[in-house]
Amino acid sequence: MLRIDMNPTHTFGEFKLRHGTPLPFGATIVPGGINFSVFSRHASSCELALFRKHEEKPFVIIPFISEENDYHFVIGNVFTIIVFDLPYEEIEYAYRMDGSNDKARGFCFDKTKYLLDPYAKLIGGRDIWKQQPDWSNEYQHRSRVVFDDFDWKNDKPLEIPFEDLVIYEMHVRSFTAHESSKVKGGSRGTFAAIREKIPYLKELGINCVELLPIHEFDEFENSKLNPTNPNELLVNYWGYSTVGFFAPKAGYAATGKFGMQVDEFKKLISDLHANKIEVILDVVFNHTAEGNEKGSYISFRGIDNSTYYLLTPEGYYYNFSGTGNTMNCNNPIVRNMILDCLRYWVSEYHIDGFRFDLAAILSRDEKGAPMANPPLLESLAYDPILGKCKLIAEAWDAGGLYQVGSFPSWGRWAEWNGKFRDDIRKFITGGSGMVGAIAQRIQGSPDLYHWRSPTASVNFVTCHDGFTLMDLFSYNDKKNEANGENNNDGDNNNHSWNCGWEGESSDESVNFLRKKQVKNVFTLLLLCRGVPMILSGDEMGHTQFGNNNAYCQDNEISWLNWNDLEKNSELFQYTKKMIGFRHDHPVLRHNKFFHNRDYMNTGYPDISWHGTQAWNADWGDGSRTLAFLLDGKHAKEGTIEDNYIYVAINMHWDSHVFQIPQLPEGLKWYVAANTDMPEGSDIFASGEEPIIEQQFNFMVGSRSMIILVGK
Amino acid sequence: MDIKIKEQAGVFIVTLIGNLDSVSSADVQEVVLEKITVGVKMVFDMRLCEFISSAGLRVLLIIAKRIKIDNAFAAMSGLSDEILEVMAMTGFDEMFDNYQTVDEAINSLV
Repeated sequence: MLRIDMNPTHTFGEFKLRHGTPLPFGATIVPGGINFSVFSRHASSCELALFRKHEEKPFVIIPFISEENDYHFVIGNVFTIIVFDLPYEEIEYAYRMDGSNDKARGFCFDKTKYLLDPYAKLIGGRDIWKQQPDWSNEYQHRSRVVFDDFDWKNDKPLEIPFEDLVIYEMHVRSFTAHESSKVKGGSRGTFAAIREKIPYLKELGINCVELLPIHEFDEFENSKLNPTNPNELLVNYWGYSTVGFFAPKAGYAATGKFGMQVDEFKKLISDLHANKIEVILDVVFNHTAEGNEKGSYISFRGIDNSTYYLLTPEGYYYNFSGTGNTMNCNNPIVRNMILDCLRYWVSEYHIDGFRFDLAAILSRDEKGAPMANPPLLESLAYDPILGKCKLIAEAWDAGGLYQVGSFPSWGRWAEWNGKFRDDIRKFITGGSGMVGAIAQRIQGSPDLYHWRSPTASVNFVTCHDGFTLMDLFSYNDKKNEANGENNNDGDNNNHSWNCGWEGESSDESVNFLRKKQVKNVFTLLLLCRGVPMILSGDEMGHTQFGNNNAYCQDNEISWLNWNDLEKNSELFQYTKKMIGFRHDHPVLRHNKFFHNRDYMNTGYPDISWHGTQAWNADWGDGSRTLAFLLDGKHAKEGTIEDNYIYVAINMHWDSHVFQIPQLPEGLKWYVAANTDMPEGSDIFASGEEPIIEQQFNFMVGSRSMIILVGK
Repeated sequence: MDIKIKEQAGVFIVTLIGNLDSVSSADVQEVVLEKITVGVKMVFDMRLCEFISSAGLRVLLIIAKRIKIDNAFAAMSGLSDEILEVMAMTGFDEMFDNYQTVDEAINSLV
């Protein structure tokens, strides 16, 4: 059906125009033309600059208000215009805004600056990863127009229950950039390359990938030469500094040079879904790439500085993010932009969830003070389009706000459980006084989330931030010299232990212990109630050579070396089988806490605690041993029947004999895992567990864990 | 882009020369869709097509869907390796079978 308002009403030179529609914001293809719409509360005027792709100067600059041409294309605080007959793939566009430059009042309009559209869905300028741009070009990050259609065929939301998720945290480049990944030469380190590795992810058994930021960012931001290798550039590798929230990173697409990153990323998501793997995006709404007062004009600063940023009464940027500026997240305009953005990724890209970087900032008001009921977080929790989305908060910020266990959740938000990470590390490296805390972590951290659910706790021991798992047991101290900050960057409080030698070792006993410790972590992580998250590469013993803050390292420090898969095959096999163990045993996965009692009248509590003596756990400060028994008849509140599972943990440096609780008549104990054993007899797939001869006691090696299955 | 269509033994041979992009895709769509009727056979000669943009791939997909709806038949020939790779990476590789030559493509439809 033809529209009666599809013809131009005005002209500007040779360009045919019409009043636009304010919603949706951004550039939208409409019959015959493109609708441009941008908000600014404080700009006095606005112009639309149109460029031919890659060209430095615009071919036309069209004002939104023109007395000469008798038009006024503004509604409220929104500038909106339809320009007809534009070849949408051949152009780039920018806005120029005029207004006050009174910095003390938070205004810094500069009508000479070409500004990226905050709603740009495709961004040019960094089309190929790390390819030097033309720095003389005034317009670096360039809004482009995308046609939002994709043939999703039969893609359905997976909606995997949170408690069944095993998350794999992955950096798009790190995963396949190394030549050992053996993906097609031109596509290493891209979305397309991840598709080639889907069979690997399936074999490992994870069912969710969490991607480090894939929103358009500038890898050259704060780039500098590597002090330890002057031929190498240190870059903004992780990308925690967003240029555009609606656009996928062009440099992460093998087809980015053709501007086809949208399709390439959607195809990846579609294929992951077809393989029952969900996709969570790491999103960074706490700040932008525009930096502080000395930063550049990219977008928000020139469009409406005082709306988008938290400013001091003197007009300076608050720096709760540690990166120069802080987004004004609870301002109604910014809040709506964030909501629009997340809705866009869910509806257009079929994204399954989000992890919010430094999410505590999202709970600060316009003066920076924490709020009890932050409207942004509430909006996200209740939003209809995000209704089935996983929402995960990194519940702290760089301004000292720490909300693990208290992040406003409305029953919807989960958190990265930083306490889980610290407690498990302390315990496994032999720390004393940890047994009580570990019992809480095993149960899904009811001490933190008792009024919520174990699924509020995303359990992890390693993530992109900090040591890799192998490095956690290879280094006492971080080795960040290559970052060029005199080893002053990165966390000093790692709770790591080098197992007797700092760094790489040829000592077999040291290496055996390190691998055992890695297996201990995977064992505990995958047994605990909550949602386990694994750092990509840990399953093959990836090392960053002691670097615990590889944010700038686009090289072998960060890249997975796929030869490790062969070298450390026993770690891969162990991790895979341990993930399999979790999937096989519903008693491990539940969205409710244990009751610590026998509410099914089976003769056993749902969870019971033991020590070297059955039914008698040693909760003392000096204790480094703990055992627990899960009664399979209580699985998922008794709605599913599972085996009995007994786990004995000995983090003491000597081996100990554990007395095993007795099973009901007719059942026997079988060994599912024993981290003290060499490859081949350390873990057994379901159905292949050997029976134990002596059903009453088990000698658990030093710094070792065992899992027994009663059936 | 130059669009040439000829009929050869009951098969439309569509030759696309140049860039199939947002400038040319509307024309290609119009000219080709006009020729699609129930049971029609069509071969795209892509030897001289230098580049297919996102808009171009969309037009090909629209054509492919129409071919399916009309129980018609189509194949491609002579796509360059680079274009084939881009099509695979963006998920547009299941629209048509591609053959080295026009004749092979015609034979595939018989």
